[in-house]
Amino acid sequence: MFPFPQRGGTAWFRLRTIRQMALFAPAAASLWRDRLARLAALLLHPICIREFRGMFRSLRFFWTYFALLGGMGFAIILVMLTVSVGEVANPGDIGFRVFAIFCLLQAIGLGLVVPAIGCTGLVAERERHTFDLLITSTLTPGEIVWGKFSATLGYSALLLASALPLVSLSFLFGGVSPAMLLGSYAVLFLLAAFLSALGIFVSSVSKTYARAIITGYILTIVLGGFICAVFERPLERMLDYALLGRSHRPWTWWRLGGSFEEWMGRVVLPAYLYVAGVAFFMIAAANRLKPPVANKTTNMKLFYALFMAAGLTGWGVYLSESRIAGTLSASMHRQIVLVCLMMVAVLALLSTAFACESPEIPLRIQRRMAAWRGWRAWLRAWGPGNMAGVRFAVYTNAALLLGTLLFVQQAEFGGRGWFSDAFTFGSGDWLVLPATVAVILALVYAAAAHGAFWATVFRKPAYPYIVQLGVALIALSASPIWRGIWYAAKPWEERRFGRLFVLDVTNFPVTIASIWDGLQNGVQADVPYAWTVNPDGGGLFFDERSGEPVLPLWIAFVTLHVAVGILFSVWASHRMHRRAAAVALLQGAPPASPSTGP
Amino acid sequence: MIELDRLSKTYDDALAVDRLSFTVQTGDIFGFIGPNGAGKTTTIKILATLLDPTAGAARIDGMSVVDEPEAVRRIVGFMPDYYGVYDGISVWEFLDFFAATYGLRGAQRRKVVEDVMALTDLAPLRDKLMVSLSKGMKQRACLAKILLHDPKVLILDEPAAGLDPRARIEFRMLLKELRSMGKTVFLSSHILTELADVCNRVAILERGRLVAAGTVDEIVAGIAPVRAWRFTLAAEAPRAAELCSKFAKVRAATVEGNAVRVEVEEGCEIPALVKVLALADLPIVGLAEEKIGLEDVFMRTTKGEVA
Repeated sequence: MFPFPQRGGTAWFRLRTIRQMALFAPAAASLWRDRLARLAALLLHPICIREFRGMFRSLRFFWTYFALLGGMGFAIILVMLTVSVGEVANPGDIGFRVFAIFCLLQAIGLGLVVPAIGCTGLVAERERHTFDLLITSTLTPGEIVWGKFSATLGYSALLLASALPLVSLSFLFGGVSPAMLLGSYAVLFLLAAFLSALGIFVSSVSKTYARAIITGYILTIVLGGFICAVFERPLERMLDYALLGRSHRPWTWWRLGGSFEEWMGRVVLPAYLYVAGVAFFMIAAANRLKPPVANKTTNMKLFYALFMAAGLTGWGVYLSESRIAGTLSASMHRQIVLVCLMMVAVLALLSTAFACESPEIPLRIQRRMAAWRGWRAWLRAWGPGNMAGVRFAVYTNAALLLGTLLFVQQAEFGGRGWFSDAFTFGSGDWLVLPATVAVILALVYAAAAHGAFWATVFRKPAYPYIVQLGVALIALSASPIWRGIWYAAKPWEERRFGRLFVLDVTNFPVTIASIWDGLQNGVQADVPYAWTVNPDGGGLFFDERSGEPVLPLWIAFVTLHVAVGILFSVWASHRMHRRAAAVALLQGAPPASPSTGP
Repeated sequence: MIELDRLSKTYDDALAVDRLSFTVQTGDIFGFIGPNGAGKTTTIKILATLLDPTAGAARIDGMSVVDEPEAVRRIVGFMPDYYGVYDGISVWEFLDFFAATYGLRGAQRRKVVEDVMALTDLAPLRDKLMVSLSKGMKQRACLAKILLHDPKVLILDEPAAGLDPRARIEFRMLLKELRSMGKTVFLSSHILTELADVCNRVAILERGRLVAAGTVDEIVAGIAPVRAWRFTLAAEAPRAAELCSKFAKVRAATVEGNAVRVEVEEGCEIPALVKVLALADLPIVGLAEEKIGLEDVFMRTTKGEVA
């Protein structure tokens, strides 16, 4: 008997559809294979692959990532110390504040790293004398620009991905949903794309490495206002939350009221400005590469003047609108103005360095300045081509920044210092810091070990990506997934706290402190939460309300990270050792066949 | 294959190339000679679509380098006079990268890279880092790079500069093999003996202007219809030189140790000259005709002026 249903009815329709699908499956598969191949060729552009190979094998790459991740971890320690427990209603708010600051640090990190990578993309080819080889290939200018852009973006994406284990730190406290994580990462990725496009443009118009870097950073700072205007909602809230600890949640701009004006103002116009900005940079960069490349005589001073005007206008608009709209408090406004002043100081420093780097200053002016004596000798320090001028500018600006910070500390915090709002738990206080440091070091170590692994993986750039992302996701999801499993295994009454509570995980360092307090004093610590240890109920290692094994979970979490880190380090060193041995063999041994020519 | 028609290029007020016109036939190995600053690299960069000419036209395989640069790049392999290499990638990866930039994919790309490495003898070095290669090996890798897309025309700017004698010989052999594969090679060099051995046609440039073009023999015949003979004497070379210089159709006679170098015009009776010297009691112990080489031609046609 034919096992399939008889003709007619929905079942036959389904069967016929399946048959048709089976008939056309090879053609459809071929079509999709071609499409996927084209997509893969676009994403894994030859330039992108080559850049990755070069970058990931350099020690500089490893140390850059290590420094960035370490810096972020250190910043989180400071945040934890400065967040006052009494200020917040629940641990989720602490977690959210950590997350907000983390996102802000990621944005700053992108602002520091992406211009350095992007701005040197094409100019490095010129300085390395590989530009002619590249430009005379059959790649179109657009493809070259796309390749450089995707490489820079990939580098940025890696930075974001490798910080995921550190971001997972906010899950220690809870209050961060996956949607928030995805939303904020989308914003950061778009920011990275904007900065990458800007960097590629700068690299296409610059002649020297130093000039490209300096121009890139100046434009990043100047166009910061423009960027803030585009990403107004997320960045503004990010700043607001990070600096003031406001209770409202950023990254919810898509939940708008639905009014046309708000959608236009918050979504359509910023999106247009964003796309137009990126497109301008990419097209302008490609135009600069169109053959013959050596004949481009665009006056870049005009471009820079326009950028300056646009950037400063952007800053003005951003600050004024925020103040007028009431979304910015007087205190917040003051702090942002302070940030702007600091940026202006940095701008002055960079401009000075830029002027000193400029080789076009006439010799007669330099000679005249060299003859200056007395008080004018001080002015000479700012003269062109004088590295003393650069040092002088650095010291001056550093003193200016330090003075400003001290002034603000005195004015804003009454001289109590930045760390005056630390935890107050009693005798267990001292455990908070070492426990936090231990967690952060483990996470940083794991993430940095990923970098070491990356540095030794050569041939297939897609595989390390997958591995890196996989490990980062495992690390990230360790806390919520385990907790989800734990809660799922419990009776439903205890799951009534809902999803948010699942994510509102216990603060490990604070718990340690509470446990210590309980052991020492026989009473619960003075913690304004209901989730501290109950010695009569769940025992020392169990949370009173959820009954979950807090300490073992987090020990497992940290052990996982350390284990992953050790695994990757061993793997990396093994591969590096093997490679070194192979190189030594190649260099020492005679070639396989005599190289006597054809 | 390559046609230049009154090609000119100026940089601000400086005239780098001045109404340059010549043709390179398919299968030629064409040498482009000139002192420093003669305009060789500028001309080559125009042919490689890296520079726009100020006036005139340049065509490769009938395509204008100005109007159809992308099409020209598909049939031209260009090796610049000075080039760098990427840090941190091996020879195989270097070639694989450029093969990808020429649109080669998958198995075809791997095969082309392997073939080119075999042709240029780079196979034993496939996993070596590019930065660790010697100058000669880098040169070889760069030549391999420009062969990846199987171009009809190879444009090489000073390809033998900085190479040791062995590497030069190998490079010369490689060029001959490429010629046998039907490639047209256009190369510039300062090492004239290199060009004389390998090129079938040359062009001499000075101050941006074409001084001479053609085969070496044609140029020799065109610029100086002379031959040179070397008389080696037992003694009294100065007296022999004096006697030679008075002989009919002798242009010049110079003493070089025990020998006298005599430059004569067509129709000069060398046996009669030998007899004169013998009668003057100047015994000749050796006699040989000297071939006028590219270096002589170069020295005669150029004055060392810079554009």
